[in-house]
Formats: sequence, structure tokens, C-alpha cells
Amino acid sequence: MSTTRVIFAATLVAAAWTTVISGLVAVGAARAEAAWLKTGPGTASSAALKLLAPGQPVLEAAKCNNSGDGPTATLHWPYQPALPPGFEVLTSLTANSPTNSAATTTATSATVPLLSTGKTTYVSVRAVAGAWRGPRSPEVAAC
Amino acid sequence: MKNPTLRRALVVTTVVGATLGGGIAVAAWTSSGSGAAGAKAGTASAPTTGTVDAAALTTGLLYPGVQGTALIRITNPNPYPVKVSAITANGTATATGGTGTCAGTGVTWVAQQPNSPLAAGATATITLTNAVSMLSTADDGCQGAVFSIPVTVTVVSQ
Repeated sequence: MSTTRVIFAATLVAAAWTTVISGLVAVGAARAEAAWLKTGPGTASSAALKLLAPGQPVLEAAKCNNSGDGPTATLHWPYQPALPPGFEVLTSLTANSPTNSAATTTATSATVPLLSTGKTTYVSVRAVAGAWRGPRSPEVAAC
Repeated sequence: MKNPTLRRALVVTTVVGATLGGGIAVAAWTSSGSGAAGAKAGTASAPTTGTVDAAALTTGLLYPGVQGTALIRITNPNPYPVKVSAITANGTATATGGTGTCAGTGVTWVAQQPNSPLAAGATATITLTNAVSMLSTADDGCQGAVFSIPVTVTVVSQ
């Protein structure tokens, strides 16, 4: 075998391997791009809070003739499920007709001003969440 | 070539090189798989979703002005593991079970990229916090409602 033939054969082998290596690189790239995306319609679910009526407030203390800061009452109330974002305490001089928002609180107790010295103020509570208002609790009479 | 030793060396080198190269070539093609990528692409199926009882949720509940939790049950029908890469809005929600009139437009979907893995053929319920936003003007009658929210689920092969 002449030197020329050997060199020619070696060149052919080198060229063949260049082709093989290029092919492997191309296949590898193709595989990398083959990870597919697929989309489909579906349905997700979510639920909204439901505000319930708190239990009737319990009058802890009342200052019916407090000449200094005005009459006040301290109350607490039960709320059965997980606490809502807040509560609103309502007062009125007429039973079952709340006219005033006396306080808002995130707790289940509050001290609120009463509407008139020496007169009965009716106090009730309702749960609030954003713009939502729940049903009122039964009232308690203060003073 | 005059030098027989050199000639033999060249011949032997060429033959051995070609042989070894061939072996490597076979090994490389074998290890790269037999066109599996093409097969996956050809048989890919869209993910599906099933019903989830969102009424069982006790946290992440919606009320005006806040974002709440969503549940979605996704099935991967493919014989390959996937990853849930995105869940986007695909229409207006519908509400049931509220205390009164409740427009589904009161809630909007917040695009999610959960990247949750899902095995081949598996079904899983995914909990997505802050995935649904309720407008501050949402109807009062939406209290206690369960919302069904159309979405588009995107999965990507792993």
C-alpha cells in the first residue's frame, strides 16, 4: 500500500467521523427541542366566605351616667365559626332598629359609647368582610 | 512507501481507529435512545381536570377585596411525567350556592405557574393560594358561594 493510499484512506475515515459527530450533535439538539408543551381547558374552584350572625352580646359593664366621657358599655359576643375579618357594633335608642355604627373591631369584645345618658341603648353586632355585612345578632339592652 | 514499519503502523492505526470509532458510534446512538423524543411529541395528550369540592375549603376564602385559594384537580393522560407549568384564565366564573344574586364577574383568576410535577397517568389536586381575586364590588349575595372558574392548563414533559 502506498503512502498516498494510506493518507487517502485516513482522510476518508476522518471525513466519515466528522459526519457521525455532526449527526450526533444534531440529534442531541433535536432531542432538546422535543420537550413538548400541551394545553387543555379545565375548571378550578374557589369558595367565598359566608358571614353568620354572632351570638347575642353579653353586657360586661355599663356606665349609664358617666358625666366625664359619656355613657359607655363593654360587651363581648360569641362567634361560632372561624373569625371573620371584623365585627361592627350597632346601637340604637329603638329596639330592632339599629341606627348607629358605634365601633368596628377584629376582636369579639368592645367598649362602645351609648347614645344617651339615662336612656336604654340597644346594642347588636354583625360580622363584616370588606363591603359585606352579615346578619345582626340579637340585641342586648344597656342601661 | 519504502519503510515497511511505517506502512504497517499507518495501516494498523487506520484499521484500529475505524474499529474503535465504529464501536463508539454504536454506543452513542444506543445511549441516545431510539427516537423517544419524537414518539413523545407524537402521542402527547392534553391534560384534563376534574371536579373539586371547594366548599370544603376552610382557609383562603374569598370576600371583597382579597385573594383566595383555588383548587384544581388535574390528570396527566400521558405515559410520561409532566410538570404543570401554567394555569391561566379562560373565561368568566360561575357561582353557585350563594346567599343571593352573585355575578361571576366578581372574581378573576390570577395567572399561576405552579410547576407541580405530575407522574405518568396520575391525577392530583393542586392547591393554589392567592389564585383568585374578588373585586371590592362583589355582590353581597356571593357570600358562601362556590365559584367554578374556566382555566387553561399547560403541562410540559419532564
